[in-house]
Formats: sequence, structure tokens, C-alpha cells
Amino acid sequence: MRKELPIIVTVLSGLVVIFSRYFHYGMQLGLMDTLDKWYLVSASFAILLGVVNMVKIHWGYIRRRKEGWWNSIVLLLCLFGYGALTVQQTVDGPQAAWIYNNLITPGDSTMFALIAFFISSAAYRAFRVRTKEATVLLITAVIVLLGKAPIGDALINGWGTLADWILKVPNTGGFRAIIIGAAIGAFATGFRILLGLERAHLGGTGTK
Amino acid sequence: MGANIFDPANLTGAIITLAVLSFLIKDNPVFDLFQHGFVGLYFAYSIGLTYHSYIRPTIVDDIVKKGHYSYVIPVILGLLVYFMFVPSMNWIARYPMSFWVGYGAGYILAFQPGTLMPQIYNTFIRFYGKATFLDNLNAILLFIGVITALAYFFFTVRKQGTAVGLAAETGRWVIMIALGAAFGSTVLYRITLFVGRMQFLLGDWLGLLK
Amino acid sequence: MIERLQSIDRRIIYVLLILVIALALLKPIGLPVKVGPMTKSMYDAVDALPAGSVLWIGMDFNQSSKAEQYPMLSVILDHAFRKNVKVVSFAMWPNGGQIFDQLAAPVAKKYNKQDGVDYLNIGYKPGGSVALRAMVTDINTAAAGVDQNGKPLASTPLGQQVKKLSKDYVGFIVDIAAGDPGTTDYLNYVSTPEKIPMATAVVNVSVPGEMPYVQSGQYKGLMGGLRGAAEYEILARAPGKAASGMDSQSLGAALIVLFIIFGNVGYLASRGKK
Repeated sequence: MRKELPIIVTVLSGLVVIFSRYFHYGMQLGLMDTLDKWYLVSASFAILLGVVNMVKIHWGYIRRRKEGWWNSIVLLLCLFGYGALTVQQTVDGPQAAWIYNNLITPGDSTMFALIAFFISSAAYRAFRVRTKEATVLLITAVIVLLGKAPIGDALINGWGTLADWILKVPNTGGFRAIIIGAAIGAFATGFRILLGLERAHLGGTGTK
Repeated sequence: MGANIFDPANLTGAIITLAVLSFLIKDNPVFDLFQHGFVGLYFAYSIGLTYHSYIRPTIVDDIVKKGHYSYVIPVILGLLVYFMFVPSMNWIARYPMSFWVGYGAGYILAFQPGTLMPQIYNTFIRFYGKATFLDNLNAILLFIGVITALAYFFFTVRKQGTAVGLAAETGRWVIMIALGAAFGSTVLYRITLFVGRMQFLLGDWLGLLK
Repeated sequence: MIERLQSIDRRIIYVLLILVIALALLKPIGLPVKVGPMTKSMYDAVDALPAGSVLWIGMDFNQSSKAEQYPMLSVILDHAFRKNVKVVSFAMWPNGGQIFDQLAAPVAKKYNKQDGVDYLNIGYKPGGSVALRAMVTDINTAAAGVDQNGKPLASTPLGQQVKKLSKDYVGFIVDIAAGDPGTTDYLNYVSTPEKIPMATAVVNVSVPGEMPYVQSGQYKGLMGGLRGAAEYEILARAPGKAASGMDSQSLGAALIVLFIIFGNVGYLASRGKK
């Protein structure tokens, strides 16, 4: 009951989609449309899952006065304060949108921009012509890096064309193999789930 | 641009930007504080958003006003997931999980082949139409690239001294080129993001850019 | 002496990177931008849409890729509105809906376009790919009947007109994406089964991984990174933020390459000694 029934739910819900997609009658039945809506509604009501988890963790930090516990207070204040504000006036409301535009947007985009520095310092430190493979990697990276910015063509005419060729031919070959491999992997996992062999989502060890 | 350094919106944005950039000097308490604040704000944002864009219309409009009472089932299903936090009854949370995971698996099995197939058949060389010598050469190279890179991923086949081994060796170079291209693209992307922040600091905030 | 080129302090690299980028912004040199074939074919596809037809824009990014993707959205909107193409947008990323509202407002004002009549922002809906797939059956049900701001979709002319994400209602799709959910979901659940042509505008880091779909013709074009946006700005004759970032992007890249060269010269020199 506690294990078998959830597996039956898993298998049936997956089969509904497959049946609806591959059989004309299945599509007409409209079962998938109903389940689509059920999926969306149930998923939206589960939105607090991550929040509950986070509150639990940070409340623990504060209670135990773990190092940097005042950061957790700030986190919870922001969470509840801004949460209440957005629920009260929607995210497009005057104050809520102000916070989004002037706190979240600059903060988040700068956070992502920080990596520019780490990646350049890492490229300088790690990119050495130690082996043949590393040399190929380095040369390709430099050709694409300068070729996709206008400076490549400004330095040597045709640099951009070379970068485009690398992206279009050998790069496409490599990434297509990765796409095919990943798709087969996803497919196999999908089958394992529908056969009841993959059980990670039910807790426990995950496989049988 | 006529920017005002003390305009509260720009000033706040600038302080936040500089606070995050301060991490470059070293990890510091101000950065930690902002980082935690962001996480809180971010989660809060999705709560308000989902409430207004889905939860409220489902309850108020669909269920109460229009009488779609069947929607009560997924509402309960979604709420069951919170039993995860009740140790003695956490098995109940398996039901919504099972539905989501099974449904997702069904989606992949039902829809992915349509996208994957063109990837496979466009790998095979087609000499037709007005293809130039260069087009044909590229088509051959692409074919070799895909096949050899796939061979590189055969981990269950004995490779030493076989044709598969030779292909896999070539495939390794193809993958190296692909990864090089990916790295070059990543570096350029990150630089661009920083350029964006500088445009904000120098232009929107200080008003130095035309 | 030369070996020491291997171990330049990282802070020197940081400071130089900031200086180079700032300088290129303050004193632009105006490096010419060549328009590539992928951006061109995307532009042509949007350009070929007849007036009154619907362009669907997927908003699958957020503020973290602002520098590259805000200009992308602005220039596509500029092009669509100039051609009197109607725009419907839908976000699988939580902030996408709000970003659309912000960026559409000035462009709509420029071309005198009205929310709900000339463009519609369905906004963010939870559920990722399932929400997207459900739009194919019925937009109103999938979106819980409301747009980004909680306004009933049925109360707007465009909301009444565009009932499904299908070939009968939508002429072309542009997915502006920074990751997952995003382009592959559009390919899997909409573009392929519904046979709606699509193009994509992705962050530069995603370009190599998306190339196989360009080769196979599954994308009718691709706008890659800030460079792609700048190329589109040239084609649409709407110079914006992308074009002005090109110089500093170039010089930043050149600086990093210079340091890579330094590092290797130092490395080879030290190896020569051994």
C-alpha cells in the first residue's frame, strides 16, 4: 500500500501521456488535458515546499546561534516581508516592483557577472599547452572567444568565419553526439520509471 | 543621460552592485548579508507570483465562481506533499511525487523522439541541390564528427586495437574541439554580463556614457 | 624572468579587466560588426510574417542574463511592432513575465501599441514544460484564465483571438532562453508536434550546444549572445544597448587571451629551462 500504490500511480500517469500522444483515440479521450491541468494545479500548490525546507534550516541556525546566524535572520525577514508584500500587491505592485528592479535585478546580474573574473583568472592559470588535447582545447577556445566578438575580424579578416565554421562543423558533431547520448539516457530513465525500477522519488535507495 | 547619482533607485542598485563586487577583494560580511537577503527575496518573489498567477485564480475563479469542483482533487494532491515534513506519515507525500515523476517520464517518452529524429537523419550526408564542394566537405566532416564522437561514448565495448577504438580516438578530438568552443563562448558570455554592470554603473548611475 | 609571467597575481587581472572594459565604454572605438547568417535567417523569418499575424515569444530567462537578453527582447519587439505583428509572450521562468512588461512598455509607446490588443503577456505560469504543452490544447485553461497581472485573458481582444499555441493561431515562435526549461521544451512539445517554425535567442554560453538544431533546420535561425543582438539591431535598424557593448566585450576578450598567451610563454620558458 505504501510502496505499491505510488508505483501504480507513477506507471498509470506516464501511460496516459504515451497513450494520448500515440493513439488517435487517446487524444480524443482528453485524459491528458485533464491530467495536464491537474499537474499544473498540484504543482502550484506545492510551491511552498522549498520555502518550508529553507525556513526549517535557517530557524535551526538561529536557534543554535550557528556562526553567521544573523544572516539567517536577514534571510527570513526578506522572505516573510517581501512574501507578504508580493501577495498583498502582486509582484508588479509599486513597492514590490521597486524592490525587484533595484535590489534583485542589480544583485542577481552582478552575482552572475562576478564569474567573469574567476573564469578569466582560471583561464590564465589553467590553459597551458601541456598535452596535445589541452592545446586543441585552448586554440579552439581562443578562436571562438575572439571570433564571436567583433575584434577577431578586426585583427585578421576571416577570423569570424573560422569561428563560425568551428561552431558549425566540428562543434556540431561533438554536441550532436552529446545530445543523442543524453536523449538515450533520458529515454532509458523514463522506461525504468514506468517499469517501476527507478524509485528514487519514493525515497530510499532509488533503484531495485 | 542626465543621471542623478542620488536618485534612490540608481543609488540602491549601485550600492548592491558594488557590495557584490566587493567579493573580488575578499569574502566579507557585507557580501554574505546581501547573499542571504537575495535568497529570501527570490523565494518570496515566487510565492507572490504563483499565488496571483495560479493559486488565487484556481480557487476563486475556477472552483468557487465557475464550479470546476474536480480541481479540488489536484489541490489536495499538491498539498499532500507537505506530509514530507511529518516523519510518521511522510509516505503520503509519495503520491503527488509519483504523479509528477510518472507524468514527466511519460512526457519524455512521448515527445522526445520527434525532436531527436531530425538530429539523427540530418547527420547523414545528402549530396543534392546546389551543394558546393565546400558544403559537401563539411557534410562529410560533420558525419565523421558525430559518428566518432558517439564511438567515444561507447564505454561497454572493448576498444583497444579495433575500428571502434580508432573512431573513439578521433572522437576524443572532436569532443575536445566542442568543449573548447563551449569554453570560449562561456568566457565571452561572462565578460558581457560584466559589461552590462559597467554600463549600469558608468551610464545609468554616474551618467558618464552617451 | 619570463617564467614569472606564469604567476601574475589575480588581482592585477581583475583591475585590468575593469579598466579595459570601462575605457572601451567611455571611449568607444566602434569596431564594425558583421552580420552572421544565423541572425540573418532569424531576422528574415520574423520579417516575412504578415501584418496581423502572431509572434509567440518565450521568456525563459531572468535578470541574471540581463546584459545579453534584455537587448534581444527589445530589438525583437521593435521589429515585430514596426511590422504590425502581434506578440504573445509566455514565461516558464518566474521573472520572465515581469521583464516582458518592463521592456515592452517603451517599445509599445514608440509604435503606439496597446496591451491586450497588439500584444499580450500571459506571463509566468508554474509547471514548466507541462504548462507549455497545455497551451497547445487551450491557453485559457493552462494559464488559469489570467495574464501576468491577474487580468482575465478573455477580457482582451488578443486573448480572445489566440486560443491555442497551434499553427492556426501562431505564425512563428522565438524562444529567448538562458537554460532549462527553454528551447528544448519548445522543440519537444510545440514546434515539432505542432509544426510551428521557431528560432531562438540564447545566451552566448548556450550557442555551441544549440548548433546541432540549427544544422538540422529545427531552428529557423539563432541569435547568439550580445553579438547576435547587435547583429539583429543592425538588421532591424534599431541601434540599442547591444551595439554599444561590443567594443568593451571585444577588449575584455582580447585581454584574457593576452593573459593566456603570457601564461603559456612563461610555462614554455620554464619548461625550456628544465
